[in-house]
Amino acid sequence: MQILACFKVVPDLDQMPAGDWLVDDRFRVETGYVKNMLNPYDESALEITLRYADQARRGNLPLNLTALTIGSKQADTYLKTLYALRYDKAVRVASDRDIRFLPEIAAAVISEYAAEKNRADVLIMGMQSGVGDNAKTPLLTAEYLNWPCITGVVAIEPANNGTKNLLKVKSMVDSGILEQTVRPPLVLAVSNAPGTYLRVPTLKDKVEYGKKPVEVQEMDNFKTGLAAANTSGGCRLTGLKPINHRREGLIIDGETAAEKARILYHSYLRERLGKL
Amino acid sequence: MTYALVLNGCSKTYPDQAKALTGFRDAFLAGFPQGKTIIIFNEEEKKQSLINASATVLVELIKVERYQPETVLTALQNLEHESCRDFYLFPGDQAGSELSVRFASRMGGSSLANIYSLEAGAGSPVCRRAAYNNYLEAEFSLDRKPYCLSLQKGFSAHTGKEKPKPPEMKVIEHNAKELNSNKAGTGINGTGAPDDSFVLDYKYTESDETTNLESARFILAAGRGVKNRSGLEKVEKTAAAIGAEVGVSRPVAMNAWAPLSKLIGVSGHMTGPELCITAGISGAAAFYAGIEKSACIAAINTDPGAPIIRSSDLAIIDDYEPVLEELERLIMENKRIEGEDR
Amino acid sequence: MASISREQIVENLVKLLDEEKVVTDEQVLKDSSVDRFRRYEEIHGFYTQPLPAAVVYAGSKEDVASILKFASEHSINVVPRTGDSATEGGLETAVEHSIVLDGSGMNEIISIDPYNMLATCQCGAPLQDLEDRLREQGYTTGHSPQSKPLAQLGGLVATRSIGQFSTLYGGIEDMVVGLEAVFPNGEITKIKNVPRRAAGPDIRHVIIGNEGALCYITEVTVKIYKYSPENNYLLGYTLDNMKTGFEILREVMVNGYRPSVARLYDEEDGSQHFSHFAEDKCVLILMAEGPKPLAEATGKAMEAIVEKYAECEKVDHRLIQVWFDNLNWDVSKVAEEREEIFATKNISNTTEIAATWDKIYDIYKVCVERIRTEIPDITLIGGHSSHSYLNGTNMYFVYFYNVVDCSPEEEISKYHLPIKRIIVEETIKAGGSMCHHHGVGKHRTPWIKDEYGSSYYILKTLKEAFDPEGIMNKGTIFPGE
Repeated sequence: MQILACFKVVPDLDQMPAGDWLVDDRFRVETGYVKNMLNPYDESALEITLRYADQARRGNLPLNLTALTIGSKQADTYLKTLYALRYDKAVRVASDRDIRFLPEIAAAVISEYAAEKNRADVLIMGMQSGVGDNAKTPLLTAEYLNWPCITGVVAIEPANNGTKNLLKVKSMVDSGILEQTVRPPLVLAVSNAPGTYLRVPTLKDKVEYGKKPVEVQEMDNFKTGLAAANTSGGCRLTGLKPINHRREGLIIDGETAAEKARILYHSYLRERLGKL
Repeated sequence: MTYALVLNGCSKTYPDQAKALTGFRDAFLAGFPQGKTIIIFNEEEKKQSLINASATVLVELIKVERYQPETVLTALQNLEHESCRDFYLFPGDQAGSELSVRFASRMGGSSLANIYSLEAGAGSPVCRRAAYNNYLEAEFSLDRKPYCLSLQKGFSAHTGKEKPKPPEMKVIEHNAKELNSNKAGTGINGTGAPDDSFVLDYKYTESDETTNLESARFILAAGRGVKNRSGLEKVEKTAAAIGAEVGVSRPVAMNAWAPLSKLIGVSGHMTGPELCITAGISGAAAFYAGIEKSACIAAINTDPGAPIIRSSDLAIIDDYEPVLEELERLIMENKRIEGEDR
Repeated sequence: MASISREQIVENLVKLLDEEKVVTDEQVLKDSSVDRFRRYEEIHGFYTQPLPAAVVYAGSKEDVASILKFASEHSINVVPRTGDSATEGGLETAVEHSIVLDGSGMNEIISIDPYNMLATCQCGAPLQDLEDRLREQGYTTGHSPQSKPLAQLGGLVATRSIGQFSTLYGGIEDMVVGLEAVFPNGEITKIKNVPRRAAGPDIRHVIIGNEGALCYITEVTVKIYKYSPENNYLLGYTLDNMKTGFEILREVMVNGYRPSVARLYDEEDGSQHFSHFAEDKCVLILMAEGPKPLAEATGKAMEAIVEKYAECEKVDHRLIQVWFDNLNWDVSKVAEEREEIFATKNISNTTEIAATWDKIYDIYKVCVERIRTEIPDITLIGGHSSHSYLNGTNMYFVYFYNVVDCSPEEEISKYHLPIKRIIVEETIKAGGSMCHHHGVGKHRTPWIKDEYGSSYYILKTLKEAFDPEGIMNKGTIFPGE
């Protein structure tokens, strides 16, 4: 099974000081001051893939894992970690284009890479990431490849003891859980998947596996994909501004926690609760 | 300008979808000529109630064996490719969001997921949705028809009065199998779109977790500050006693202290109670979006600098446990007194 | 060691205090048998320490006195506790039928005296509360350990804690003015608040850092300082070598400058915090604070010192500010960490040591090298210096490892203690101190005599004199028999 897992490195936006949400005239926001992290949905996708790999290796099934990201050199430290976690190949598509709100480009690059460079059976990635919040990349990738797509994936494992390259996919749909045996190729999109923190490689594994060079591809080389992307899309960003979350924030003071609770209840909540 | 509303009648959330789409239509497409409603459904006996909830006179039904996105997409595409509408509106759940994006891609149109407003005038339509984990609002101009839009999760619009039901519905019935057998769907690359034959077998388990978070009038929301599963269980007990629904922030659900069905926020439920008490929640914007429509937010947190404090109406800076204990005592006492009065 | 049964202990405790102040709930006892040192076991539901007979919530110094007296009479081990954020096993109940004497209910901020620049609190007052109250009035304690959202004054003094601004304000020992403490025989003692005195040895140091092994701290008076964060002069640099970093820190200190923050991270430890701007680099952080002219002059002078070192590259101070604002550990972070440990079987621990300028780099280097090669399953080994002095600095070793092929209760003996041993032995061999600011706890006691050398006589005599029955936190500082 050839699996291509895609991820994005994002700033930890919850660390942004409230006053720092400044948008410039090209709708850019300076988020470089906060720590970056794996997009949580992508982190889950990477770990779900590793759990599949654990099972595949136990069953001696053929397996090849590739991790791919689009972005700046900052992502290399994550790619190296993925090498150490036994991804076979780590690829960064280098680009300084502002594609925050152009998921078509991400999808075009991924699908071209999957089809022509990687010959992947399965693509797996997070459903969206919290900068553009477009929630489109895996879906468009599936469309560009003419592959089916499963959303809300929480686990994958080899099906039928790994014969015929089949996959068992567990996913959350809007009102239940779907377990399917499927035949690749297909695209898997991950959103909330409880208990899927990415594991941590040992220094030994970092030395043994993590030193392989990251494969860097220039985005401009993805011509076919980009051309396709340009025929799609059709949304232009025309504004970006902070959302005001402020309320009164009246702080209730008292000697003890219980006293504060009493003031809250008698002065504010009792009447309100009475109307419910 | 013409529009179509696309609803998933296979899901038990159909009434909510219908309400949200109707509300959105009334709020932003009121001046448009009557559109149509496309309903995907699988159970014959539910057909009439599905039709009854439609907001348009013209209803087109597509019968499927089960809700399978590939089948549904191709059927939609085959149904619409000859007489494409300008706007397609989809509900704000996982299925609706998926359809909007993929359908637009197949029809060569433009899509946006999770929108909460639309200005559709003479020029390009303009939509708004959240970005940057709900810290920012992004505005987009759409350039290519059809415009395929899915609503923000939990979208609701207050349009004031209930519109009178149209006197008579016009219903056209289709079957996905027939639609899809005539001509295979074509992707933008010109090759055939996939069908559902990649699925060899499947098992669907409907969730037995029920929450009424979306309709709840009183919510007690718990965050990482409850420390562990047993901390959350205590909060659940308190909530049961005082008559509140329990909701949780993302870390709590991701740590599996509570099922995902209790999750509040952009990736969970979008609620709008009369009163929301938060305990041990710091208030990341993605969570806050899920309680933003609360009439009153009372936050309990030990950290006066936590964002939730600025985003609440009332705040107590303290450990949530003794505060909840006392609140529970007061509410129970009041209930008892009121009980005696009656 | 107790001369009466577990049941009798509880019975008597209830008689001495109220029933509601004596807790014997099993989960509470389990949680109270350990601190962060054994959190890996605890997260997996293993409790290897003897469970205490009861957790007792003292409401006053008189409560404390009566419990200690009772414990002395019946040879019952007492573990003093306030904020419960200890990391070195100091709160482990190593002996059967211990009493955990919890002072977190004694949480009053008794007075804030801006004229004499004093603040007096009961032992259970959370530092965060005191600091918040002070800042509202334009003052600060100057004390800001990472545990600030959790720790309380009694425990902070008992463990000789230190904070992120220590290079200016000092450790807690430099902040304490007066103290009140109760000794095992029930004697309540109070040391008055004076600016200085030359009336014999400074007996505050019998109490500060005693880790509950000599007495129970019930009240603390600390200095307060004017708080003027608007004058903060924050500097951040990336550099290639820790050796250069130590040289810069030294130059700043020996030239008489007093930064509030002086931190130097190696690339491994730094990768957890600074990978977004300093990949594979060391990071140096300096901050000057106080009155504007002073802060500015100090800041500029430090800048000039660093400029002389070509390998240092200045970074935008906002990068440092945002990091700093998210540094402290609150309840939520602790909860999140537990889940991550459980899910990934990856855990971090720390050991902090101090040494003079001529020794520190060699200790750092040999420890990192040895741990890297001798300990299995390490996922990160690095460290930072975070508190500098005229004569030297500290090193805070940070290490993460995957717990592999062993049960949760073997984690400590397979990984943590062998790592600690390397750090402690190398440090003592080089002439440094094996404990910089977390205290000795229960797991560095095997080396306490090496740490003290001939001066151990003085330490040992304190124990014999003040705790003749040996009831105070057995196994802490002093090795248990």
